[in-house]
Amino acid sequence: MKKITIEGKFTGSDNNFVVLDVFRSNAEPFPYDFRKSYNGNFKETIKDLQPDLAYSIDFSGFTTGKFELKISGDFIPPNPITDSFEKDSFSPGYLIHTTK
Amino acid sequence: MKKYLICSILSCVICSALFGQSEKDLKGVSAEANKQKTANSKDIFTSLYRAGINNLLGDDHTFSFSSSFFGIDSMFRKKGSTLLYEQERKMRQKSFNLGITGDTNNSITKLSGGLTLTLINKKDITKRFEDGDRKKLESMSLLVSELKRKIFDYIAKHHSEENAKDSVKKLLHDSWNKADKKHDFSDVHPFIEEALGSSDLENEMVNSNSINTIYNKEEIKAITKSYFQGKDMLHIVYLDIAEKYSRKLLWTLTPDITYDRENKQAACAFAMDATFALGKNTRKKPWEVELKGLFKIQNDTSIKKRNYENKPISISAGVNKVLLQNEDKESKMEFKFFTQYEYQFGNVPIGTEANIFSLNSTLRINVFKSLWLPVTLKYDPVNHNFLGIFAVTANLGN
Repeated sequence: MKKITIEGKFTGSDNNFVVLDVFRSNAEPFPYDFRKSYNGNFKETIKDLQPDLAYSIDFSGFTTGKFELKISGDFIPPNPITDSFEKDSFSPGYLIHTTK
Repeated sequence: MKKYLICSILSCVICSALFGQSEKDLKGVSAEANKQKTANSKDIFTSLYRAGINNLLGDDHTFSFSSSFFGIDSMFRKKGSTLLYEQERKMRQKSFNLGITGDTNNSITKLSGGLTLTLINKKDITKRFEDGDRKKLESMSLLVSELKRKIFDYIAKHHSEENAKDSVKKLLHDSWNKADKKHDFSDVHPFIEEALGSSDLENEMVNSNSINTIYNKEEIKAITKSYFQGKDMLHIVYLDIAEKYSRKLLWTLTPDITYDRENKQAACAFAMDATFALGKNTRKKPWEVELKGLFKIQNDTSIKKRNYENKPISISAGVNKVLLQNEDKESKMEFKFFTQYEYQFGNVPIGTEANIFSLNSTLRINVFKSLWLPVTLKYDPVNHNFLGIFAVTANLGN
């Protein structure tokens, strides 16, 4: 099993929200489904991913301050993946491919 | 005079470039919501920097500079270091003001310094939103999360061969992310467009049990359709709520001390400013109501020795309206109409009135980036006098 860590950090505001989605479609082999929402900083470790498979990691939310995200763990580069959003709504997605 | 005018405008442009750049480097503020603030409300309170030159065509010209404590802290703070939210908020709520007045011989005649304190700032969108507004945004975030999952499920089912390739999946993510950054989904990858337009996806969204949302089935259907039409509904709700808060009350108090170098004495002033907007339709720019009060204790220049016999108070009420805005909803031209009543508590010089009532209007024109040219016309209906005041200001903050 492969492990990834997803971190989110909010600063500068009381209005923060994000839905984290880690998934692999039901129409594909080894489907995966993880969804959780947060109103503040979080650090989520997922330990049950299959080796050598692609997963989507999606974030949907908003902040009136700043939101910084970081995805790290057992997946092929670019690793870690980082991004940030300021005073905005956002719904980005990232593709990771776990190591063999 | 021309030389002075050009120098004044140039100094503001330089300030604009200098501090505008600092702001960009240090904060990288996208500030979508800030675009909706009017230049008039930024004149009352700046959360970063503001520079201005008043009375350009008169005998005395005043160069003023204001900065919030947050603006100054940003300039000296180590790159990458962050502040606790409460600390940052406290620093954004206070600003200091400096001013230098020069005469026609370019000699400095007055120096001034003061503070602007926000008594009430309901425009501040970093403060916790009302529960209903939070719920709207949270529900929309959950809907978008579900919509994305359904899109990728649809593509995995209907384009399984292509979807098996990481390169195609990456293209799909890149296409969505690009549209998300632009808040415009009208030019997404054809697979995403196909998924968004399919009735299967619409039905699945409407019947989805995995989302806890305040939106009913009809609304979910309409939201899904909106993405197909290129609209970023999460962003639209975000902007609507930001606009709603930008219309709320801002009330400030400004104590200020000025030192008159010619008469070698100080003067003090207390100003109160309040502004809020009328109208609930967030698609239309509202009428902004402005109330001002100013009390000064200063010298009566008709008396040769040092004195504090000049004590004017002025109260004004008016409305400000955005006349022109660009595609990003940033204000480009504003018109303000206001009435002003002035009363002299101290000595009333011979030949002048203790009470003056005037009708005024200010036209603000955005000439370049943050640089504004406000032109004020003052009319005294009793004596039928017109007075024009021409200034230049640069609002360099959010």
